[in-house]
Amino acid sequence: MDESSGSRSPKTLADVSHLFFSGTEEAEGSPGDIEPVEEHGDTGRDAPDVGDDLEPSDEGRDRTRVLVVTGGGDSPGKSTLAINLAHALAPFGRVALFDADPSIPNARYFLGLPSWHYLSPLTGDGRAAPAVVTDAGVLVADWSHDANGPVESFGNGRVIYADIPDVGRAPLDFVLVDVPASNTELISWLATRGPEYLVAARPGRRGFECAFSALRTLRRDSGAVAAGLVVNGAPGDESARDFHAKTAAAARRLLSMEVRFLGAVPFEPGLGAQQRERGAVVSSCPDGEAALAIRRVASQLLENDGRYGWTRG
Amino acid sequence: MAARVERVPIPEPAQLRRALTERADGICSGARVVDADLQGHTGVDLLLVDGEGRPVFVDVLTSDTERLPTRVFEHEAWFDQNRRLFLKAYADEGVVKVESPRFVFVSPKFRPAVIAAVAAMPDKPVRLVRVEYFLIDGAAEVLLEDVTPTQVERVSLAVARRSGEMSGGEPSGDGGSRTADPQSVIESESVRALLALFRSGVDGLDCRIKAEEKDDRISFKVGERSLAEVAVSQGSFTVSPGEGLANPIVVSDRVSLERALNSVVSLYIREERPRDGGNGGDVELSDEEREVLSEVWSGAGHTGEQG
Repeated sequence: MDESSGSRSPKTLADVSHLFFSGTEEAEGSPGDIEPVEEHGDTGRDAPDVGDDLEPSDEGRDRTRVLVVTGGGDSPGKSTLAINLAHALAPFGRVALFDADPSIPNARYFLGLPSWHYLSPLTGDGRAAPAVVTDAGVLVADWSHDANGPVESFGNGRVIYADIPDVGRAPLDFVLVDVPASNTELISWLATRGPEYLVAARPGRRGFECAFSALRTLRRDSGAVAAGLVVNGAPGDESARDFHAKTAAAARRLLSMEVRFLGAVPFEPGLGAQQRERGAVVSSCPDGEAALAIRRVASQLLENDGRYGWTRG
Repeated sequence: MAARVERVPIPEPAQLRRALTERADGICSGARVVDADLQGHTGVDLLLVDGEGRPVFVDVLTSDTERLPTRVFEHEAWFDQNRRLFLKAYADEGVVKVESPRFVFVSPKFRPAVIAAVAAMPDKPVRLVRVEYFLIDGAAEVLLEDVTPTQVERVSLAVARRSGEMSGGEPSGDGGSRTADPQSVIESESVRALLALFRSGVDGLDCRIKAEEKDDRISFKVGERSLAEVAVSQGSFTVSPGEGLANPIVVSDRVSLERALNSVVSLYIREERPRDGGNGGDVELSDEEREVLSEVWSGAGHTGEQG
């Protein structure tokens, strides 16, 4: 792993539940190199005002890349993809990952948290799990608890900032959001940030239909005309490419949408259990096939900025 | 590549509890964690809710399992006293009104007398789960093994049989048909660990694989679908992919068994179809979408240029 990032990442888990995000520029609806689709428009949400006294340097960043990792159906592997991708991108910039899956907030698995929901029988009070920074420097926040949390905390600037322990307020290079396609409200809102879309899918007929379902949500609720596809648990690269070809064909015919092949992550027995014990395989088992495959996906993303969102280019 | 499997002592209670938190479905099928930090009730380490909304009290016993039957009644009494407040507090978590929760006791070892005592309480919803800790290629892995009701009955039966023998009765009443416990046939700890890992650690199928042991075979299922059947005999395993998707494979070592199981999963994932020929799960498709998807999937509309 790249250790040259120096001051970028604190090395201990810490409670950063006070963390919040804001932008320094006026919202423009979408980043400049992106062509928003007309029907997506304004979602009617008001982002919080940004205080005048909070204007840190952008450090050369023109915007934060927002990557929405989604998928349809049961267990398409979006959380595994999101968490590992966040760690694969960590050497290339400051990364935050938001777990917005209300049914299975997997981020807690990787953080060693005993529970994502602390409920005292005496008070009936609940709160979300605290955000933490992993050893690799990835800021991970649980958005599964409060559906409105992301909306209130994201701000509306092109560069997204975070208050990071030991670092202070700092601009983010990448924000990944792990969100199921069924959460149409959040997906619709995220469209205002000009995101790119990564659809995780399982091979097979059912995975095909689930992937299509997720793509349909992206098209209808966020106006996306392009997305990247990652095939999880693929028996082989050729099989994954065939799956992609079929998914792309269906999306083109029914949704007028481009689906680009981002990669295939091979099936590895015990991967889920291993990650729960040791964290993202990209960091804990960097030479494994799954880790290498996810790093290739990260490379594709780095080389092709903006290809998986609203542009057809 | 063969994985290195090593049995290690059970970790300290906090670490074990954390590990168990992440294996709720292994403790009780279909369950999820509601509270890992239950306040005010000493003795219950985890609170789960099962698929039917029934609370599940998980009590981790690293020693002193002899008190287990007593603890069943203590937990039950506590629940009786606090039922109203408890159900109110956890209603939002999907806990429904019930007369009694389920009780799960997790321990590295249950003495036969304790198992027999539980078997003698058929009206109590008690489950015993044996926990083991392994290092598999250096990564810690908790393995949970149900001391299932059938095993409880078996022990109970064995006790009865032994009593019969002592009193001059027939040593075996099965008329000659052999029914071997597959786990007892498997001598290799690493193979046992592999089978347990297969049950619990397949990414994407996490918590969805159920295992049933009957006679000399272990059946793995995902929901109602058969994933694989592993027949165990002295010196070899016969792995049969579910639903006749491929011919059975006979293997004789752990590495080959792992490869066979991996192939089964790949095959399952590749062949997984919508259930009942419909949409499957939560995928809702219009007639037009269904038609086009079928066409594309079958290859007729592969390029997508037409239409």
